[in-house]
Amino acid sequence: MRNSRRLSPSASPRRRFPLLSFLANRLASLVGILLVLGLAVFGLMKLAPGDMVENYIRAQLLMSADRQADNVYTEEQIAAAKARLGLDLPFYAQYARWLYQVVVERDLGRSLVSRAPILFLIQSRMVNTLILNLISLVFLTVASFSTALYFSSKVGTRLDLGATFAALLLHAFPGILLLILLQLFAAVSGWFPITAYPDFPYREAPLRFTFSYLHHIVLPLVAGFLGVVGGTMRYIRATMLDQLGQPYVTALRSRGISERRVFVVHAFRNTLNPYITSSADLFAGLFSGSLILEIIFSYPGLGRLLFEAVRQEDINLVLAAIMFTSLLVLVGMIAADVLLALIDPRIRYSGSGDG
Amino acid sequence: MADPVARVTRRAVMWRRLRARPVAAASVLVLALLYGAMLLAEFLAPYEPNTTFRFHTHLPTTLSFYSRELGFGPQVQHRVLVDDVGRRYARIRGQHYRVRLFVRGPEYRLWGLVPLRVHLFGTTAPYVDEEGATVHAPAGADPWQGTGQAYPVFLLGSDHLGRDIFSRILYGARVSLTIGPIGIAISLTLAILLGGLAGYYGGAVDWTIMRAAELLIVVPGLYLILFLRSILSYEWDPGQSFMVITVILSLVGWPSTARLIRGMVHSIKTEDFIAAAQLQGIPPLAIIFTQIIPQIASILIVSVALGIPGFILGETALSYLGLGITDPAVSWGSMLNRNVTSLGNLRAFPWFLYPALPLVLVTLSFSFLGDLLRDLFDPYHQERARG
Repeated sequence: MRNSRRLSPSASPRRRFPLLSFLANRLASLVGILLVLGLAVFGLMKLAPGDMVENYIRAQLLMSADRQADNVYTEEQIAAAKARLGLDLPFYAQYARWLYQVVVERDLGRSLVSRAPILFLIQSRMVNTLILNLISLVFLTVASFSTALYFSSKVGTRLDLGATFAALLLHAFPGILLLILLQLFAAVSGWFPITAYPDFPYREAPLRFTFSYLHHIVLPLVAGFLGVVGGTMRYIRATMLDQLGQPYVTALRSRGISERRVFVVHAFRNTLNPYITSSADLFAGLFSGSLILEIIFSYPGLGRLLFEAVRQEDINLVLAAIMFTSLLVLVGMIAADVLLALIDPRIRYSGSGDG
Repeated sequence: MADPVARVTRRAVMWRRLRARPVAAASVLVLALLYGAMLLAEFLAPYEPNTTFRFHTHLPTTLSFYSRELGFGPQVQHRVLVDDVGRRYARIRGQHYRVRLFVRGPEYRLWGLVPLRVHLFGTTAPYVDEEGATVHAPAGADPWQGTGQAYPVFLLGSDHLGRDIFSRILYGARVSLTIGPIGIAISLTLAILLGGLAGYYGGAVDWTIMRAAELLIVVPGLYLILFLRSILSYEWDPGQSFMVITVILSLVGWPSTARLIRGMVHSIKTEDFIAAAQLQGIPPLAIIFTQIIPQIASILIVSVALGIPGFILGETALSYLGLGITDPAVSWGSMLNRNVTSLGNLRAFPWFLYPALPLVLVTLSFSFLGDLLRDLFDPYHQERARG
């Protein structure tokens, strides 16, 4: 490992600031993916056989001045409204307009149902979802690494067999049912609130809010944690065992390095790389899982926002919610990449920076 | 593989592994039983999924095994609603109906062929309303249409509309147990096709396909499913909504498998026998399907078994949210719809959660089975697991 730095003498000037150029590369690919994703989303909305656009126009007409008493409109009126809203344009033109609105005017339009500015809705929800998932991720990482390390040192024993079986059981158990059961548990025992968010704003009493928030969020966290921990623990344990079978571990042992040191310093460090690589998928998985969680425990996050928007056919809001969720996941992926580059110098110098 | 001796030993190894792992063996048994029950749903279920017993909603299991009048044996006691708000029923002393095997019930065609009226069990007493008058079907209609005719026996209780939960679980299995295999068939075909082409050709094809896959991976699964569901409007008949849901779930499911396949195709492509096939002028798609895929079949089998629970749970999640299978049709997910399994309902009527039981059994079984298959087929994983 130490040699790899000397072995890759790259003459390119970009290589003088490897981490920066790596970061720039990743950010460029982020923008690229987001742009294409937006185009795909717009295209899909246009191609879809549904009457979402019709509903949208009806809703717009309902708000506008030329509203009809019986809510029946002529073809001309609908066509005029379509032209006014720019919905008669091809989807890429609509997309360009939307992009201009978002990037230059910093305006995402208004929700069709609540008439609130979407940017405002998204901002607060995004923070909430992010907090929830980051706490989950931290807990998950700590717990799965410590259990995996412990049980990989006990490999083959009954304890290890039991733990891996329990992990498989947890991994395979339907997450949605776990959430329903935990909610039921909260209601019956009365130990935890069945909603996941305090019923007063943060500014009113910051300290009380924090405690209340922690109390509210325990069960959702437990649910999210139990749903994923089995899989990650098994994964880390397998990588750990993989590492322990490598020749370098034998070499370390033959040099009389203590077993504890072999585990914690050497083998452990090499499990970080695959874990961080997969943590991008893990992060997306956490988001996906938190959607149902947010709905069941009525937590004001992006997932619930999207669900409500879908139910109310609020096309603007659906669009914004899906784009910002993807943005969060992408940022998470890049954070994982950067972290990987920081702790594993091989990544930076091998120049795997294409997106 | 073609060598008969090799095949026999392989089978022997499989048996030994299966016996060494009772959980996996139990999973196979559970799956066989559940799929068997699904095939015989009409015969095993005493009622149709939408048969309502208007005067017996929210009832827990009504089957009992002893009464002074009838002695031992399966039977049902007559119940009359006394508390309209709390949905509480009084049992009428001395009025018991015997539960018999092979009774006449609603007509059905077994597997769409054999017209039958016989059901595995049920009562023969007529269904009566609250005053005790016999409930008759409208003249000329099928006597079972919409409403029950015989006094109901609820093995697992009745739901909020007075439908038999046991029957609905059996009929719901048709959606919940088939959506996995059908969904994985679609997504695996996509994955083989796209992943295979990407790995085989490399270059621009590879780049395009893998970037498309990345786009789908970036959006978290359920968010994407909800989005796709939202752009397809709501009005579907049951068959259509089943297909729409399956296709959506498959679209979301293919990229990760495609990545896996791409990597393996990429490495197998350099083998000599592929070069030989190319020299014979076999078209690329044929090479992928007839030469390369058989090489990785065992790994694909594993990913099938491990992928099925995802489809089942995807359907459950959608139906739970009210965006999947909805009322005239029935699936385990739709029985767990969040309006039905609301907190108030679950506290008062915990048996509404029974459909979760087969759900847990099936997802666990597929996972355990997949785990067994992986140990059996995937030498790399096995090595790693053994340390």
